[in-house]
Formats: sequence, structure tokens, C-alpha cells
Amino acid sequence: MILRTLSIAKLVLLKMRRDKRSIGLVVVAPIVIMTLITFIFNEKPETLQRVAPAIISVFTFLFTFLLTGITFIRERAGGTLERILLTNLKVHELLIGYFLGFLIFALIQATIVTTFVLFMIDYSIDSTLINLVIIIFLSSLCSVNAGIMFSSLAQNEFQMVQFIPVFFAPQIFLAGIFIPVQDMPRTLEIISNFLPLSYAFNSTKLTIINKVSIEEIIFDLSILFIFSAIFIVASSLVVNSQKNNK
Amino acid sequence: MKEYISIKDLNFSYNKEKFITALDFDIPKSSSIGLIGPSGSGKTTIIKLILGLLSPQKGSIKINKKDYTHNELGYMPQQYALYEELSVKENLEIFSKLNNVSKKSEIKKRSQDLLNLIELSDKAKELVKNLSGGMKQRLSMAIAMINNPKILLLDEPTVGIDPVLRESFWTHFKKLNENKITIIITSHVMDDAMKCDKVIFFIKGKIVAYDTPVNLIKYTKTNNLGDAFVQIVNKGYQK
Repeated sequence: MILRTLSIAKLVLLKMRRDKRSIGLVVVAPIVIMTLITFIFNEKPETLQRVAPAIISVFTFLFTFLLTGITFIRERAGGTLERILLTNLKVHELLIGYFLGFLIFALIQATIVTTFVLFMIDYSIDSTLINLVIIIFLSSLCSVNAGIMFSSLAQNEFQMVQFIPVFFAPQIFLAGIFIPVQDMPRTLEIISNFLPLSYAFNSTKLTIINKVSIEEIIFDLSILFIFSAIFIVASSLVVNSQKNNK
Repeated sequence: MKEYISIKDLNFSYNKEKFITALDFDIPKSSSIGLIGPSGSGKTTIIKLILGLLSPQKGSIKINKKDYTHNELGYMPQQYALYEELSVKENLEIFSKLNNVSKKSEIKKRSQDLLNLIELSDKAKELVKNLSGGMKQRLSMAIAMINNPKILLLDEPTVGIDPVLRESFWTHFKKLNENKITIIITSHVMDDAMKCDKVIFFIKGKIVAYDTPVNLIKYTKTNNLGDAFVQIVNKGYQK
């Protein structure tokens, strides 16, 4: 099992490393965007305090979601997904392998984004940094599996990109980034409670702004874990249906 | 010859529309069987039903009178289905590992044997995206054989390859038959059909004839398989 899982992780790493566009998306795009954001908010520390946690959580979710989704669509369209599912590879090995492969890229991106953000807000490194690592890990787990799940609904890469407004726009508006969740109309507040980004954003905000201990964000982390589990089950069903084509 | 693969009363529908109807046929061991028919006749669907990628609504497929696992099967799809960003060798390695071949020495030996067979030893380190269509086709066939299958299912294996290479493919297929490997090939090329031990003509998910190429020509009183096919479509097949 380990050999097959690690083979998939290695496959993801090799494919990504040799795809210049993906490397650009993983490394260059966050650097460019973060440099831009640094210049924009450099003179406005109050605004920066508000958007800093949003930048970390949104970037981690969005980039990993897109990369996984597009890579999975390519696997499906190119026939390689069907072919590897005819080997001894099990669906859960495929998903774990994918997650391990993409986790490395998600961590590279998150490190770039987080370093910029922490530098901008003069964050002093302490024990709360481990909170951030856990948040990023769970957010990546969530978005890798969400990417696989949504890729089954898309026929091509363009359609995958179109899921951004469908899947992300409501989350960005309802996560509490612009208006605190408790100040929203009751209906929107309820909807916000069912969106993973709300918990990723809230826990990131509490960590880097309020410097809370892990105990104080354990609820958010637990909900993020539950969302990850839901997406894992959903993506397993999607890949299984691909395998059986029923 | 004794039956090896046995397909009984197989029915398959796409979106409630019957596509394969009451299909019954046996395939002898160590033979080359050609599934021949126009596009949309159901050739690939039958391959996918044997592979378990599609589930029939009715009927059964048995190998050696038993249910089977995909470990016994090798599959070469119509599209190349290769990792373009990986090298030839890396593609063979990854599919070896996914098929539970873990020893490095074994992976190396299998890969080298297959590379020799498909005459791509000198391209081992080349990225797949830089190969020609024919080379990709050969690599795809090598990957189908990486797990030493008992049955090889090849979906249009000779599309896009030159006549010389096609001939060498067939020489190899016959060697595989001698080594007790059963081969099922889909094709719409009559040259391929002529080289099969037996040919199944398909029209709209139904078998219209199943016989040796020589018999098909003989009993239709035609000069070649192409004409035999046309006659069978128009008048049916009777021995």
C-alpha cells in the first residue's frame, strides 16, 4: 500500500515540477500578488490587520483547489486515471498520494504567502506558529479533496476555473472577511456556518492577530477536519464512480 | 480449442438505451480474437465490460469458468493514456509499482525487456511529450504488458503506426499467443482482422458473424474480409 501511495505522490511531484505553468502558479503568482498587496497595504496597517488572515486562508484554499482540480481533469481527459485505476491501486491510496504530493506545493505556497503577511504585520514568531501550520494542513486537505470532487463536474480546465465564482465567491463574502459573521443577517450567518473558509479565516485571524493558544481554535480546527472528511468521502465516491463508470 | 473467456447473455444499456444485446461468445485460450466493426458498433464497450470499467445490466463474463480480477488483464486504451511530463522509463516504473512490482531489479528487468520489444531502448530517458505518435503507441502497449497479463485487451492498437511496425506488432502478438497469452483486439482495419485466429463482426452491439478469417471469406464467396463484412451486413452469414 505504502509503495503505491508514495508512487502517486512522486508522480504528482514529477508532473508538477516539469510543468512550468504549474510552477508559475505555485511560486511566481503568490510572490507577485503578495508583493502587490504589500505595496497596497504598507501604509494602512489597520486595513492590513483585517485582510492579513484572509489573504493566508483564501490563498491556501484557492491555489490548492485549482491545482488539484486541473491536474485531476487532465488525468481523466488523458485516460491515465482510468488506466491507473486498473492497476492494483486503491482509491484511498490514490487520494492519499494526491494529497501528499499537493501538500508539498500547498506548503510552498502557504510559506510564501504567510511569510509576506507575517512580515507585513510585524508578527513575532512564537508558539502560535504551530497553529498556522495545522490550519494550513487542514485547509490543504479540504481543498485537495474539494478540487477532486469538483473536477468530476467539469469537462475541461476552463469549466474548472468557472467553479471559482460558484465555490469561492460565496465563501469569501460570507467568511467574515468584510463584515463580521455575527453582524450579518441571520440567514447569511447560518449559511456562513456551513462554509469551510469561515473556520479557516476565523482560526487564522485569532492566531495571527489575537495570538491565541491552540485550545481556543480547537473548535474551528475540528470543523475544518469534519469538512475535510466530508470532501474525502465525496471525492472517494467520485473516483469510485469513475472506476465503475456506473 | 477449449473455451477460456466465456461471455453469456451480456446486456448493456447507455442511458436506458440498449447498446449491447444478449451477447454470447467464447474465446479460446492463447488465441488472437479480433472485434471488428464500424465506429459505435460496441467494440470498446465490450472491452470495458471485460475490464470491469462498465457493469452489465445482465449476463456474465467468466475467465476459465471463474470470476476474475483485473490483475489477469492488460489493457491498452485507444488514447495513449501516458504521463507526457514523465520519461519513457518513468512511465514504465510508475505502472510497475502500481502493479505491485516493488523490487528495483525486477522493475529494471521488466522495463528493459519491454523497451527492447517495442524498440525504444534508446529513448528510455526521453520525455513522452517529445515522442512521435507511433512511439507513444508502442509505449502504451508496453505498459499494457507490464503486469505480465494472461489476457491482453488492445483497443485499436495499430492506429497511427506504419505498416512495418504493424507487422512487428503482429509478430510479437503471435509470440504472446505461443506463451499462452490470449489477445483481444478491436480494429476497423481488415489487415488486422486477417491476422487474427478468429474474427467477431459487430453491428450495433450484436454479433453478425464469428469465425476464422478464411471461413468468413470462403462462406461469403468473396475475395477479402472487407467484402465479406459488407456481404454479411447486407445478407447475413451462413455456413
